[in-house]
Amino acid sequence: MPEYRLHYINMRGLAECARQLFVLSGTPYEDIRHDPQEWMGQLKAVSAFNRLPFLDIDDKVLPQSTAINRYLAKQFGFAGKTPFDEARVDALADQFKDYWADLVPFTYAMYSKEKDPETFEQKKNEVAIPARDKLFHILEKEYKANGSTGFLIGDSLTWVDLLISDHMDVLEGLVPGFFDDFPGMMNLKKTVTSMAKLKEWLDKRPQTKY
Amino acid sequence: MPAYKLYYYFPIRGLGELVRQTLALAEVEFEDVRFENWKDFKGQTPFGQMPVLFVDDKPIPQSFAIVRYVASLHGLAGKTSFEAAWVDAIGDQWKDFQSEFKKFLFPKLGYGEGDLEALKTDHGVPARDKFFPLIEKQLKETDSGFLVGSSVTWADLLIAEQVPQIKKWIESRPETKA
Repeated sequence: MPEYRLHYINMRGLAECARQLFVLSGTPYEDIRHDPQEWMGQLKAVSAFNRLPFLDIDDKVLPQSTAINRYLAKQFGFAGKTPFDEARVDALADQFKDYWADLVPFTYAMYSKEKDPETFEQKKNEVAIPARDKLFHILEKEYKANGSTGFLIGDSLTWVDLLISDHMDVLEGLVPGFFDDFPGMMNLKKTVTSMAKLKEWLDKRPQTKY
Repeated sequence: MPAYKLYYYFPIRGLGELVRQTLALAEVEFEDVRFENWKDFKGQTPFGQMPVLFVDDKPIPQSFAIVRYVASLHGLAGKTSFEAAWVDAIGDQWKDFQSEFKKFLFPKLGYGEGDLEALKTDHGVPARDKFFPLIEKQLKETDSGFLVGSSVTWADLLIAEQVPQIKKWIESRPETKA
């Protein structure tokens, strides 16, 4: 059994999907949460690509959250049941990544919501809502087309289900009801978060807003 | 052997070209469809975007998902799952680079407005200087001539396609001291 060490900061952010994959597969790992100052000072120089998160597998490092998520999902059986399904999972995850890039102006406002609530409102309306509508329209379509399996692709959980669910939870924490117009995705989130091993993690994980 | 059909827009190479090169290197025959008015065909795509690869009429959207699918089936995605993950990571790092670099590149290519000198200084050069040292480091480590492992992967095709673009504007830019 390889020794896994996941390096990030004390946020859900880009590492939460990987953490949930370890939890769902019952795989032990070290959940390392660096202090950002310490990171800037020392670790940056030695890690691949100078970025967080990165995954250390028996002292071999892998950077980039999406690559990490896909690698772990493949190891643990959450990547899709056929090469074609894997490609469809990848496509949705890439579409989520594009959405995440579109959200950047809103994300900055999100981190300063308390200090500057007006900018938060403005960016929510100008940036977050249109981006959400574009992506979640696609997600609802995919979910419906997948029949009544309860998941986005195939008949069992894949890592993109985890990505979407946790993201929804973060945004609902900031804007209650933000995804109410997307019943399929609300259903997906309910299905995912009520899986026993995951529910346990959600209750005991460090509570962070995002 | 499945029938492959690629949808992309004319006249740019863009990420459609990455897909074509991967298919070519894999020696997979495909129908290379290039639309003049691609928006008229949006409805035929799963996400309203291109490229899309149809595999026996079943669509895969998103360039990297397409490329990884083809590459994985034809030995162009690394020799182990760890190597495949590193190929993915380089692709993702390129995407990060591109999201910054394109603020200069697209206006430079004529797609968009802006003060090219300012955009180059504010976005082009910093993006390049953050990304290409990582590529250089990677090449030194593998010492094989390829970015991951000892044989070509789609990460090599992705970066190689970018480098002539960079080389060209470096050669054509005015001489300056710094």
